[in-house]
Amino acid sequence: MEYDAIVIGAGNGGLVSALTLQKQGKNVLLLESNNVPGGVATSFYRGRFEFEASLHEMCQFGGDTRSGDVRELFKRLGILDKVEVKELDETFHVITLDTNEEYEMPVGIDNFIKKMEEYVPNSTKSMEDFFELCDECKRAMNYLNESKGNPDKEVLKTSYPNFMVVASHSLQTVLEALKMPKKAQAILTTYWVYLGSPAPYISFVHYAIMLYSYVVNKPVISLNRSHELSLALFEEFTRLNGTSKFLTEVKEIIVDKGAVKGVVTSDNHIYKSNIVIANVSPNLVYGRLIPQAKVPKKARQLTNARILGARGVCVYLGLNKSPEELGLKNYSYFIYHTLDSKKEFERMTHLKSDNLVGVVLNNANPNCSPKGTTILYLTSLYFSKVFSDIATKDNYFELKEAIAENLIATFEQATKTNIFEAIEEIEVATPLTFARYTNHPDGVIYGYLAKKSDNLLPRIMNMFNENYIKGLYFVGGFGPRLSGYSSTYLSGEMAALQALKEMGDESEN
Amino acid sequence: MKVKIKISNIKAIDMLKFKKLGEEREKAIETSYTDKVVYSYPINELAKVLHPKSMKVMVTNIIKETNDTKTIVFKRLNNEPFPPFRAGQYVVLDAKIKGVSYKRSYSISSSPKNLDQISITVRAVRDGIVSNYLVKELTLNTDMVLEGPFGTFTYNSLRDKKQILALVGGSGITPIMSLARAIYDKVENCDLTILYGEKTYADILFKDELDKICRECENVRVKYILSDEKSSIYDTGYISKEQISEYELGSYSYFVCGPVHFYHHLDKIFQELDIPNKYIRHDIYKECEVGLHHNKYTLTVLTDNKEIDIPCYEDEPILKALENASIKAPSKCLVGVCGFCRSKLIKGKVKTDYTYVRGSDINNDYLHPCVSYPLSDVTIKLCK
Ligand SMILES: Cc1cc2nc3c(=O)[nH]c(=O)nc-3n(C[C@H](O)[C@H](O)[C@H](O)COP(=O)(O)OP(=O)(O)OC[C@H]3O[C@@H](n4cnc5c(N)ncnc54)[C@H](O)[C@@H]3O)c2cc1C
Ligand code: FES
Repeated sequence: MEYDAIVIGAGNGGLVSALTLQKQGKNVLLLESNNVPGGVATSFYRGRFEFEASLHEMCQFGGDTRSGDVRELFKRLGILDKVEVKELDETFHVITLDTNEEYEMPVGIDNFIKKMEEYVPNSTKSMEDFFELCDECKRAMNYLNESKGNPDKEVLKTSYPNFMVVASHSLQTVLEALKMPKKAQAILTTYWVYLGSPAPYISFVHYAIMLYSYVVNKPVISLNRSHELSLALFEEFTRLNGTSKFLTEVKEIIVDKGAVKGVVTSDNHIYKSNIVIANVSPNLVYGRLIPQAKVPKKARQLTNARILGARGVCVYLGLNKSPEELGLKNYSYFIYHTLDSKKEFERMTHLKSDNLVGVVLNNANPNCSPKGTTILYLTSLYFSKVFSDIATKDNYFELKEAIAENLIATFEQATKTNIFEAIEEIEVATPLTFARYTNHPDGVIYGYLAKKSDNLLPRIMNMFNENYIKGLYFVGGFGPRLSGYSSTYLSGEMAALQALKEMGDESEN
Repeated sequence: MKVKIKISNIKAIDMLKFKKLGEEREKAIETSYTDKVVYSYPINELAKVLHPKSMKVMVTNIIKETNDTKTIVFKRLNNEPFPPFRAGQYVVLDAKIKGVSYKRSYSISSSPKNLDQISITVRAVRDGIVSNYLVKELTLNTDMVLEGPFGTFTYNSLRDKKQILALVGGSGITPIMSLARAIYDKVENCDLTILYGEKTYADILFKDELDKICRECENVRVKYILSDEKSSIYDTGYISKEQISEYELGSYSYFVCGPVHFYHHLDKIFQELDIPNKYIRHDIYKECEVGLHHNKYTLTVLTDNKEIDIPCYEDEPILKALENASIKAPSKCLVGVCGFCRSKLIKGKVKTDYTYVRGSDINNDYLHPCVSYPLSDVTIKLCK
């Protein structure tokens, strides 16, 4: 059977690609090795708790009046009415362990600036400039996307001059240049861990777009867990007669004369297509799925040049007390030793790091668990392969429990609460869990590290030159838009549109 | 709209640098090494060791425990050790009986210390196809397939009390036996008291070994309770509220394993004693494999782009109808908990248990066929 396109992996990126193409009348085959769609965008039950597997908050969604890119995408895909989301009224709440600081930031630009002024007097001017700049960056990125790799230099120069100035710089460099007070810089940078890269590495534009979206569009969550988002995409794909196979792993991509011809699955079926969209890592594709002799030199070089991004441990807790009883009033708690992102990034190359993001689901979604209970997630990232270095088959269970214990203790200390005594259900996901579930190298959850030439802009600017094998596209966290819900969804559409063009069938959107 | 923002310092190098972003990336690629891409990561390999997709095994020993119960010992055909497991976990056994493949889950009864071989202990239940085959027909050296280990009926030091009171009905002793052995072997570090209810003295499983463990290990105790036999040595009757209250309330986690009516019985007691959910762990319980075969309907199965009609019965889970018709369907726990059999109801009415079905799955007509019973002709779509 020959398909117009084959999508490997039903994560966020893969699902959007598959649906976008199917909606254009293409005949798509979606192959997924797990038994549910979504990749890490899913949920699971333990006892009386349905745990969200990954989504803390999504940016670029917004509401009716401030509709973000992802919301527009869902509209185009015809699934907006299939998902129930909720906007949050806070951005972040950060607590530092070593310096005993605590800051709570609201949504809305004015509120945000005002609150910052309270914490850091004389920060208003630089904050205003910052948000102006964010707005321009956002519009400039839209323009870059619309121009499909061929921006008009003049338009860039005249309409987006400030964007052009900052585009090649790191978050830290630009905040310095804006003469933002150090303390305000530090607070503003709190979200760095969401992009898995500290202020000196992460591109200003990338960070600015995310923070801006959280402040302006507000963060959103999916009330029925991210599984509902994944399911909405999948059900629509199926309704349009898309073909899917679960529990089916792709073990080879067939390449002939520099072009993809199809895939071979673990049950030894061959499916033919001239388009393959990979929701998996280039490491897997070039290192295992395509026979080495057929991997172009450039593809090898690119893959070898990249650094794997964040690995993570996530502790899922079902507690038998309400958030009020526990004394937890915020939704998200960023807990670091200090606000110095570079220093914390270094700390997080060690296993004993206890920097974490705590999320109290009930504070955004009060009916997510039975009355009198709380769902709490503690997520901690590692920026090295330290977990792999230490885990063995003999110490794995113990290691898991020890890490969880450490994280819970830190959360207790930072929030001055008692969590241990309320644990009714506990599940711990480690890099091993993610490696097993997603097949990603070393179990990374954020794709490649966003640093230097592997930041957002260089990736996007060069994505049209990096199709080293004809008909092969990458989407998802390892793709050109990097990791995160909104990015991976949007990467799915981008690749689908590119593929449509290749099929000689450019669509209107 | 043009805004003048004072962005000092970096202004001079702006435009050029922007244009160069792409070129710099190009350069970084060109100067990177050309070696082949090696996809080899210890943690991905370890994941496969800990969670093999399935394991080919051979029956190396069959031990008669009582008249109707046998322990079956397996080793892996590739001679690798079994993946480490926690006492209380189960495996899924794929048994081929008269050409039909049946999957059943059984708790591991052996100690997690010895991974060269693992064992399950099976009691033949009335009309049970697989259990009777395993107890009465299975022979040494038979090759079989196991999946797992799976399950969360395990001791967790962060959640549970250090003292466990295990409440066991009949063959529910198997995961608790594994725990007792694990404590004895110093693999698990908790204190275990077992209230073990059996029908008669002759039905008690592992009695000699349990008594030995209790004698030699101060952290394990057992009390036998017989329901169908008068005895002057052992307590008789059903495990009661009074017996449970003898163990200081608030100091124990309760691990319950036994038949369905046993859970109902204990749930009532826990409620009366006001014991919080947190301290009660249930093993996944196993329905008896009996069917009364009345009210026959047609089950239409959509799978692999085919549409297959098979018979199904109102008092038989849909998964069983699939099994009888030799239609391959994903499954693990068989009791509605793991979600592995998750399928979509396309048409028809069913009686089903939604306890462990994701909220959005329910909204989109998904169900778990292992706990779904037809109330009309039914069409389902398998997820595979
Ligand atoms: C704990 C955690 C918290 C997070 N929190 C947030 C958050 O708050 N906000 C946010 O925006 N982002 C968050 N993220 C990131 C976000 O979840 C991911 O970036 C995004 O879901 C990744 O999508 P993806 O398209 O890369 O697909 P993935 O989820 O990586 O899925 C890849 C899929 O491919 C399948 N696959 C792999 N190999 C094969 C093969 N050979 N054949 C067939 N199928 C295969 C896998 O089974 C999997 O389903 C979080 C991630 C984690 C892990
Ligand atoms: S097999 Fe586990 S839910 Fe059906």
